[in-house]
Amino acid sequence: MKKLKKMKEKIKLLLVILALATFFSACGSKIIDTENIDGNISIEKEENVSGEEKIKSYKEVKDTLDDSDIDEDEELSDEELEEDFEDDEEVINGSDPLYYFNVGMYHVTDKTYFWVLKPIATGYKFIVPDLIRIWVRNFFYNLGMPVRFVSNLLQFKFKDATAEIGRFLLNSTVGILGFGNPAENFPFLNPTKEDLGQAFGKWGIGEGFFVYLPFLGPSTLRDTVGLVGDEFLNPINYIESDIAKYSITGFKMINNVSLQLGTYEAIKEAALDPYEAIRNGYLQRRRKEVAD
Amino acid sequence: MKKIILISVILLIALTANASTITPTDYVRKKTDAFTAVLDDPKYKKPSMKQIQRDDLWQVIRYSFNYRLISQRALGRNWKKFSKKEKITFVGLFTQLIGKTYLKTIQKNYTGERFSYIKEKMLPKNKALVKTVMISKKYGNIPIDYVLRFKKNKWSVYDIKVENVSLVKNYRVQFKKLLRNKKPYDLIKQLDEKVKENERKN
Repeated sequence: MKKLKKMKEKIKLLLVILALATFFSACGSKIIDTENIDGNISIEKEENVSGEEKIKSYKEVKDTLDDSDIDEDEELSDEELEEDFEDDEEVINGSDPLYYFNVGMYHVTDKTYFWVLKPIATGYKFIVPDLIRIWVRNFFYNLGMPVRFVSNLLQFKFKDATAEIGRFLLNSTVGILGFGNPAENFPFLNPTKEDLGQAFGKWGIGEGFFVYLPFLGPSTLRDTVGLVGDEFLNPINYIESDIAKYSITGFKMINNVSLQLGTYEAIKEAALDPYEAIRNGYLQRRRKEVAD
Repeated sequence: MKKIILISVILLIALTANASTITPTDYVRKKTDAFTAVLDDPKYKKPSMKQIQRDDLWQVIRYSFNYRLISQRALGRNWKKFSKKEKITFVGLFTQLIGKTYLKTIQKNYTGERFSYIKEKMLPKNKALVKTVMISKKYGNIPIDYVLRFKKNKWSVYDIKVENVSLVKNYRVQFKKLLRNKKPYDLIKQLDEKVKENERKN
């Protein structure tokens, strides 16, 4: 009798350990799950290719250097030169009635970045370790749940709206006020980021014209209206003390910039016409986001 | 007769089998792995090795994309306005501009990012789309898509979309605007200056 009881306890303990082990290993492994175009769900675990294998593959590429993939004399036909660019004309000639204002604001924002934001963010980065800055970013992202939740609802994306709530609950509790991000290990708790501008777009409201907002960057008329709405759903704006409200918003901005130093510089370095590159990049990205 | 049919069937199977040995995803994976292998290799850890690492990375990135195809599509119909010599110069400079800026950015900011291959989609006219995600603790997950073409039994990449922004389309807008009132020669000159300016910043 006693033996049986002991056995039972042992089995119980084993089960608990097993459950815990599965839980932690699930947390540790990175699984990417994206709903693809056909609606099927494909899951692929990140593969751990050994260093040796990788170096081998690097050598392989080096060995085949002479056997280049580029045909030096290839000429595309007229049709091939223009294909896949049906909507391109529109982007290029698309309305930019505020061109001179926009370019002006682009330069103002550019200077603000290099003269004010970047030096502060660089100093902040020097003092505060990466991990803590990531926690801070997580915290603010978690706080932005209402915007994403409402925007999902307005697009009838009920599954994603629920996921936003689930994510918020998990990260606010297990993730300790949203500083941690345990939800990242559960693909279904990571819906794409939605905002009101996207919801308006989904309703069929056009972009209007392009506008470069000072300090905030590229936008369109529709997205600017969306942005104002977003601010109404931003909990930070409901803090009573103005000083606290603006300091927190500024802090959030510096923290975000500190995690993205170099990105803007790279875009600028790669572009012949940075303003057009940023404008086109924004429009391409937003169109895709609205379509999704 | 029967024998001829049999042989031709076998030949056909052999040919198709050969063509499909490497999938577009395999192709992208091979190049990406080669690139991260150089980034991960501890022998480049010393600051004095950074330039050598950059040269080695350049060897990989130089042969990972079909720059001639990228150039043609980024110029669109304007490509025809270029003389043969201008075409070669343009492709060379454009390769330097995109290759080197991205290389520098990646080398500087790399923190052991990994790539996940999400989906492969075959497109008409022997083309394919490979959807990947760059997994990064620091930058979050960034979707990167590759558009490939199959020709002469080889895959090659002719467009990259980072966060849904097509590189080719982005340059197309810029080139089109510049060529509206400038000659190909002027564009090449501007490209050359930009490349030199970026080089100086290093």
